[in-house]
Amino acid sequence: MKKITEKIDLKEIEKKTWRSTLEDGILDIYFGILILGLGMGMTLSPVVPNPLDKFIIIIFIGIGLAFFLTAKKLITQPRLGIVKFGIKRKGRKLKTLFVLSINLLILLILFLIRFTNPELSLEFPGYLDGLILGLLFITAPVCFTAYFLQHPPFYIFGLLVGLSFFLSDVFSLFLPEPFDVLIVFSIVSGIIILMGLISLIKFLQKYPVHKEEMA
Amino acid sequence: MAKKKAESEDIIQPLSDIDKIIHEPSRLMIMSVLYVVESADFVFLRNQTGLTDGNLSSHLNRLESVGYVEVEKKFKGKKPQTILKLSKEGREAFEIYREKMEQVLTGLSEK
Repeated sequence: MKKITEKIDLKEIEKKTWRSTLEDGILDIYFGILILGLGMGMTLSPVVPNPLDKFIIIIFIGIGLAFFLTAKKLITQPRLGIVKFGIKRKGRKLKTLFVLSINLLILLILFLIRFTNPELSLEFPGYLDGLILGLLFITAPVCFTAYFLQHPPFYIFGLLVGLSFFLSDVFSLFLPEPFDVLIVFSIVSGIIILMGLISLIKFLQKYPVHKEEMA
Repeated sequence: MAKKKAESEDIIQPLSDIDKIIHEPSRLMIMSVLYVVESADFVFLRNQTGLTDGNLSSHLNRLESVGYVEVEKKFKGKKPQTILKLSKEGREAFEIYREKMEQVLTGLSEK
């Protein structure tokens, strides 16, 4: 029990209020669907004819986004209610977008350099290729997102997805392509979606739907 | 002796200036939540404060009557929706309340 003389920590109240909007696990499930799409895209691209293979990931982004928006509207809002945050929180969201955009830009530049100069390539010993690129371009930006969004599960997700490329390389020793990628990404996205579903179940138990509002 | 009495009055005096509308624990919770967000609906506020519908409703009426909270009632489809936000006066009153409480609590702290 807190003493009355303790300070009212408004930052802590704001953080708690913000985190309650992420308690539903819907963002986690959405992220899991995106990672599943990434894995599927990499696995199926040799099988699906060009340019249709490019649409695999777009289809998963679409499915994920449709799920996210529908679930927020039909599950979260009636239970948790609606809230609009202030300028500081919007600033944090913008910082997240900025970091992700920079990351995407760097990836795009690297892709273009590689595309125009096929002889240029980053050579790392052993399986460090996937490990370094995964940690640098997946784990780091996802962890930045976790920090700015103040959403701790994203630290774990960032690490898991970042390691997926390295694990796919390791799995390729035992499994033929493209099953190495498929299995690793299915397991990783499965873990993320499962964690999201557990959060969702807890959320449904914590916030039942009330019939009417009074005011 | 007279000096000591004056000092103690300096510490206690701000207590009488504390905004009693905000000082009530339930209303303080409501004001704190509304202070850190731009706006929230009735359901969100109920979940954050843990108050019952009736309790929340009466405290909101009180805060609205003194002009601290702005209430906007609308319909979302067939369901009524009540959007709440702190007015400019409400924000200022909350900031003054915090300053006063800080003064009082600093004065009351054991040294």
